[in-house]
Amino acid sequence: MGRLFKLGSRKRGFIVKRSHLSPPKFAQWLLDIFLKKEQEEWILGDFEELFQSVAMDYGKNRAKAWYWIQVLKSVPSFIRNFIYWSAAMFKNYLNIALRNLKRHKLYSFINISGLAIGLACCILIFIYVKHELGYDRFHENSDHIYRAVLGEYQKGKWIYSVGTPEPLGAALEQELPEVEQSVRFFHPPWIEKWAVSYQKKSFYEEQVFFTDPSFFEVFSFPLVHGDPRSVLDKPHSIVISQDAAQKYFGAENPLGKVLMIDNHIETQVTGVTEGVPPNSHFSFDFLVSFDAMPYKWIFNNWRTQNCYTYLLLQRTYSSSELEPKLSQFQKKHFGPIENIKLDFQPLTDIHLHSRDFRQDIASHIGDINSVYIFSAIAALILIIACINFVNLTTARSINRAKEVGMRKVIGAQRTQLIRQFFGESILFSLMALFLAVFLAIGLMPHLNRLIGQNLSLSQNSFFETGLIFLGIALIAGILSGIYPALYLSKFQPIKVIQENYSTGTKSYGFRKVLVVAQFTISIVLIIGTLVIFRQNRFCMNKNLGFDQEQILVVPMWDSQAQRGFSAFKNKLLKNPEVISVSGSSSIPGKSVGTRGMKPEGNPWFPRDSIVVDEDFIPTFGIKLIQGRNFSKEFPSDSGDAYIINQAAAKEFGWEEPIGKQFIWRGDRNEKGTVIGVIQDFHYKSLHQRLEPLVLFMSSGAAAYTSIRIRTQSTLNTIASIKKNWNDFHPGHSFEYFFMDNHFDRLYRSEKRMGKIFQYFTFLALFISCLGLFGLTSFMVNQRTKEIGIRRVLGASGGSIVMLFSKEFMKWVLVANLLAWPIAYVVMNQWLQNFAYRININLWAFLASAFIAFLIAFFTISFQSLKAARTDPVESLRYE
Amino acid sequence: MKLLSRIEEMVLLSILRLQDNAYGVTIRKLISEVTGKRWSIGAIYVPLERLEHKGFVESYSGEPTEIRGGRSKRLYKVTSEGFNALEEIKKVNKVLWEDYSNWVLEKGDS
Repeated sequence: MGRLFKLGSRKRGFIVKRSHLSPPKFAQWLLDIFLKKEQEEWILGDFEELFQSVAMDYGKNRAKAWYWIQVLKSVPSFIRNFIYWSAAMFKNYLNIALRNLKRHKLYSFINISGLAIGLACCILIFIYVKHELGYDRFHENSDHIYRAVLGEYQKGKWIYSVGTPEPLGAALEQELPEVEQSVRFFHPPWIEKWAVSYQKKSFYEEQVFFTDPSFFEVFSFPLVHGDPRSVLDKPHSIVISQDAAQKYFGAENPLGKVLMIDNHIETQVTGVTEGVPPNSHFSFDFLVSFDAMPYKWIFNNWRTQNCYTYLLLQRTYSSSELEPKLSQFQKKHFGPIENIKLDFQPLTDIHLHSRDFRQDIASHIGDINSVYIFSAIAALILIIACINFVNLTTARSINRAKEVGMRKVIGAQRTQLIRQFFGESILFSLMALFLAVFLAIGLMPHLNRLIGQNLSLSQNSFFETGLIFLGIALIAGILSGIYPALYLSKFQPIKVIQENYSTGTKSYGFRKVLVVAQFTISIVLIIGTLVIFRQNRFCMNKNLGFDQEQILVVPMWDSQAQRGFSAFKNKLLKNPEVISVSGSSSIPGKSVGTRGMKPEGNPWFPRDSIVVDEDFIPTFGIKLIQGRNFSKEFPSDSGDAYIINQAAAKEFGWEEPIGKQFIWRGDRNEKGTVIGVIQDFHYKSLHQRLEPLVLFMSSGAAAYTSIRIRTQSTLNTIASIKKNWNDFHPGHSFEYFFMDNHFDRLYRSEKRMGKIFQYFTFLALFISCLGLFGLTSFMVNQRTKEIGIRRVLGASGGSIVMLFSKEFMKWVLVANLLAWPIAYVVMNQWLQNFAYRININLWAFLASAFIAFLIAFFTISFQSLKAARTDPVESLRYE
Repeated sequence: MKLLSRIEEMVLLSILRLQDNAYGVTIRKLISEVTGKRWSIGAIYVPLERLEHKGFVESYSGEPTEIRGGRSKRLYKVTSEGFNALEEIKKVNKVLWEDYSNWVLEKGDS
């Protein structure tokens, strides 16, 4: 566009001359976008001519406004025009695409099925990821609810605990203006289940929380009955879920009914909730008003950490905004301790960013890393599927070359051809999407079983879901269309229409790169699967430092049973099947309580502690290294004596631990002495490092009864122990589990992860093989004559297979070399989740290389053998 | 053959009326004057292009002028097919409009 008139110097007050004016540039540019090249000249000219005449009549400002209005008004007509012309061409493109699809059924099948599987994976993973990211967002105030957490600086990093002192919430609410409301929960880790009874009905319930009246103002759980602002105001009131109401009262009206908790706390039902949505990080069936909480000793005690504190802030704050205020607050209430930090964690972060937190409330902790890993897998599988499309399309380019030449001769422009090929790949991916949706619906229940969730395709709005899937399909279409479109549209008509034009050699190098990329991805996934598998096996077989075989555990959920433990123990000891019995506040693999204490020469901090009886160490087969076990012969053992583990001795810096002193419950200055040291045993899962552990003695009460039994006739043994239980605690259900099973369950999420990984690896491999299969069959086709001649000259079937495999095998080798370092880095990162882990050794790499070679070889030989077997006469007659 | 649409008919007739000076600006101006409605410029090009595609009009480039920012015009001429199409629509119109005045009178009477 030659611009004859530049904007001249314009001074205020001057009458602007016509020749000094030009239309608004941006509007002109906007108009230009919608115009075809050949229209540009005269349409822009028409616009400008009119613009000038308006300018002469009404002045430049009116003219500019007029120009803008005209452009905006014209845009719809231009678009309509554009669509009109595109539709005509589109019909032709569609025809050609469908004709191609029909003519080359194998390639179309490989392309579409590969893409469909890839898209189905994407859809499934997308739904999973969306669910994981969507935790706790249903609360109206979700972006300004926070959870108070306490960090301890240990060995160079902050380790957070979710447990907080009881008075913390109220104090924060009083002293920080930013805090509008606070809620306490009491749901101590040492009580896993509570006995809840209504008249004669009694069950052990996990989801019992003691909480404040502000609960329903901070959180937005809908109530079926009751007013959210006052439902927990009355002392000893209880709010239950609909399910619980059904369970205890059936069809009766639950309001006003009296529920007994732990056989002695009387509560009255004042409200019923709809139940907790699956994407809440904690779930409850019973909310009891805080005053009914039986453990009064935690009140006003800043040294306990047994409450969870949630806060409603005025707005969303960044952590740097809050930090100075929090550290001031902390100094006032916790004293000037350097290695403790009070922090607020945003509600919406809790689900995915709390993996290393101690004492968590959540029943199902997510992990941001698995979200990343699965998103990456989805992307990789989609890439593999797109690569198939690119490879097969460019490989077949010879078939399309003539069409391209013809179109160009008739007058097609390159952009039109590019549009055509893009359209084709998008058409393929839309067809694939159609299949993928069915596939995803079919696979959803499997995925749900694997991840233990209840997700469905329809959990989001139909429109949104559809739009996102369409988006994914379009991305796949565009990704797989770019290269073929650019490559095919480049052909020179003259060269192409000549007889013996052979394509494919040029794009050969690029195809090689793509196949290598596919196999690299697949091999990384295979190695990942193997490493996960080995780590899981390692966790199962690791020596835990105690003997987990043949221990049967009877949990004692209600305090009546707990207090009567001695009677139960005496009954059990008379049972000939029983070797020994121990009662303790926790057992390995269950969360342990913490107790604030100040070991000699160390700062005050809550430490893991288990209350045990004198039989705990022998029953679990734990090794005593120094000193002695608790004993009934020393009455002072109960309360004043401690046994610590090696880790504790090391952490406290005690060379000679026996006789060292502890202060606990600083307010009363109660002291105790270390009487023994035990070898470290894994009382937590192998994810977590062994921490200092302190054993206290108290006989008489216990939350768990651990029974070491003789091997023979387990069923009879259980029956006889059940009989002991029924004599001891009639009317209460007998629950039990075996120690080894229970410990295995700690690795459930890793096992799931391993399974899911297996599936996706299989799919990735499958799609890669589809591509390889298509590519070989294409090459075999191209070299039909060559094969015929070789056969005539006496080549064996085997040598022909070798001819093809040699090439591909080289690529797989390269893929292996690329995959190994990537897999090493990624899997090493994953293993960091475990405090105790395997080393990645060469075995996994070699095995995955072997698998990849084997699969690639089979895929290739399938096609090439077929070619080798055909009668050479047939192949020579070909074409 | 498909009949002309109303707008196509108007555009063709305007081109005839404008003789050697039929291009976007003038056609729009004429139609706007006659109909008394403001047409956006863009709305003129759609029927023009369709008419050209159907072979009812031909176009050729005019000279670039100063007022157009140095751009040339696209001038239009009605082809013989264009005339045929106009004849046809005229016939249809004629039949349809026949006796119109009588009906108007009748209506006025009642």
